[in-house]
Amino acid sequence: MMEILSKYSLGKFFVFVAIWLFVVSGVASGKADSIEISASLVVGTSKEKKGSKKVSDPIRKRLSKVFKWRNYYKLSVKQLSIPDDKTKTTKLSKKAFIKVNNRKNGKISVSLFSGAKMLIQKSQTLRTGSYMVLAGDSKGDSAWFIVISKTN
Amino acid sequence: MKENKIELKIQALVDGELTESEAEQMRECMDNDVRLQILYAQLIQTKDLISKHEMSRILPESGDFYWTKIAQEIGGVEPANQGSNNSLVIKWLFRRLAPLLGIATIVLLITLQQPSVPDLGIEFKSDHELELLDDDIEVMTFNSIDDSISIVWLDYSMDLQKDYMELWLD
Repeated sequence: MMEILSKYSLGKFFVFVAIWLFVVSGVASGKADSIEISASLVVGTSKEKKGSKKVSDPIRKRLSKVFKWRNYYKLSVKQLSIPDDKTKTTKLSKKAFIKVNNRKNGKISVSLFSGAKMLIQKSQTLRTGSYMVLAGDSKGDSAWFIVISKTN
Repeated sequence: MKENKIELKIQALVDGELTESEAEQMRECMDNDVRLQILYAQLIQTKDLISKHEMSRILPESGDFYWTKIAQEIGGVEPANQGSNNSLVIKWLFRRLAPLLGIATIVLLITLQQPSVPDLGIEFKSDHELELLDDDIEVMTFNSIDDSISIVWLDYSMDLQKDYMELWLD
């Protein structure tokens, strides 16, 4: 009798575990379908502005290796969570905004707009820790940078 | 055929290679045949000419030794004939083994090429796509070797003064 009971409860236990694993895997896969993106508008300048928000060291180091400016300040930072095949828009400055499309498997497509005019569209697979940068001149001895990175 | 034999005998007579009886017999033949007499006279004449005008050749070593060397060289050719049997065996083996060796070589090459490339920790991504909608805007791109940063520099000036002001007035 005890054996039958133990067998019965054991069967129930396995069924429970199976359901739990199914639910957990579903939740996990649901989470994997979204991509977390950080988009920052950065200004690069030779002048030092005390009290301004500096970019993180990895970004500063990477940009300094390529560009002449030593100081990089954040003007705005936006966080986006974009499900697969979905597009989200975010405004980074008075005129500039970006549209980010999640093309699945870490691939994103970023469209940069200035006012109503679309300037460029860049697509690539973005790994965690890597950066997509769109940049150009600004007034004075400075430049604008839109730094996009994957955070999940 | 018979005439050719007689001519050869006359040649032998001129060279002094016939026995006395053979020589006598040939002389009798020549007495009855003018053509043979003419041939004999021509051969004698030729022999005289050669003996008078032939350049003497000095052997580098003694005559016996010289001829022994020639005999040895002739002897050396004979083993080559024996070796031809061996070469036939080698050829037969080669014909049989050549296809197998070829297949084995191809398999070896495929096997050697298959091992994965050593992982140097460098990833090359080539899925970058760029679409520029305004032809007036010039673009330069830069990708780091490890693909950790990709930069698109646009020849497009953006006035961030107002954003600056907001930032630094905060």
